[in-house]
Amino acid sequence: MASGNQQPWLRTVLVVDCQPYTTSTNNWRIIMLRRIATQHAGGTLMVFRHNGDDGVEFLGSGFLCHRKGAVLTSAHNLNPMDKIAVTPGQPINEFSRRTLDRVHSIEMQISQFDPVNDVALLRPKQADLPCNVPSNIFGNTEDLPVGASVAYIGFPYASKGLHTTKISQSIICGKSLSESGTRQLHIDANVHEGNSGGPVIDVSSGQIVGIVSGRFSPTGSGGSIMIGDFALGTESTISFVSTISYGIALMKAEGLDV
Amino acid sequence: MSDEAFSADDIAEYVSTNVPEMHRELVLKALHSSESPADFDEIGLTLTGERTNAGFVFRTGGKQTGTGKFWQAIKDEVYSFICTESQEYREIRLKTGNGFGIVVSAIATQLANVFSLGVGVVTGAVAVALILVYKIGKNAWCNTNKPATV
Repeated sequence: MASGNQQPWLRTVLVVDCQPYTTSTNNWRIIMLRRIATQHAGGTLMVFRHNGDDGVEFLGSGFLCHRKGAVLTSAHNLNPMDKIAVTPGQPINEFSRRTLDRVHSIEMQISQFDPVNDVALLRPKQADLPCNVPSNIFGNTEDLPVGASVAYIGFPYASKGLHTTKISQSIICGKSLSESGTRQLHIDANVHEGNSGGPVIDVSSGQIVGIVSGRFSPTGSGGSIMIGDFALGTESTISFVSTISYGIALMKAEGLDV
Repeated sequence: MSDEAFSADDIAEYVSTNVPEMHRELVLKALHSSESPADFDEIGLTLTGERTNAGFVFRTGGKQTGTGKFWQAIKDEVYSFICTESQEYREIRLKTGNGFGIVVSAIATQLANVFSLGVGVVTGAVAVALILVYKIGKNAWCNTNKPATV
């Protein structure tokens, strides 16, 4: 995949509209998932690194978190030595190209980095990139009950050429502390390679409550038998989400109003 | 060679006020309870994201490259300041009695410029590398961290 210069049209694509809403209809969940897809997909971005020779390599997902163009993603997507860039996905409700030959890149730099809690904050390298990101985009993770419906958006298998934005639904099936003490939500879903860094959204409020971090691997995170790039024994339908409070902490450290 | 002499109080005060909060606990662990260079490498690699205690979590991000290289780049930069007469730090070296914070800031700013990062991304890891210099002494640190190319 090759990168191109930033185009003016990007400024109109990067829009997140996240007004809290309620409904009393029986099919509220379906209606809200459609609304979440429309509202949040435009702000969900592909994160990649430049590999020299104008080529790029997909790293994971990320999402706009501030009107100045700041982006939250997973720290494990990044190596501080990489030249990082992002690009918005194609319109989610259109039949778009499955694989992009070129992407319009926005150069980013890592501004805040919290590998212990697996979150990182990116800022545009050249200048702020004005975006429509409302101030009430984040929900309260601490009070979110187990059983709550959530949606997550990202770019699963984008490293294999699947460059379309995906939304999936799940529920919060548990909460735990990681080995390093990070507060994590569990969702009953099999998140895929490329989902890391994508937003997890509370279906009832439409607000972001977490960042996809990985999935439970019965064989651990160490070595396993590989077939090509696929690690055997790492599949499960329990996945982990870092609570959004860690992302908010990075934004505050960066001096962004939250 | 520079003549920086750090004190524990100097270091603790700098860490508690200038190192980003999410890195502070690990840096203070290096100051108060870590002894061996291997402990410092462990903390440094954790702060750079090059070693994670993922347990039974399979990370669903991109493939990592260059694992350990960034921590090594930080140690190489500390070596350049502490153990050589390199030009980029010449003006700071000319000032006598540089405190811990001044040295960390100079090295972190240089690294942030080279790799296009926020200074806060590297401040904690630079502080950890310099705490080991304080603990084992400049000569010992310079001897054990001499880059292969120097």
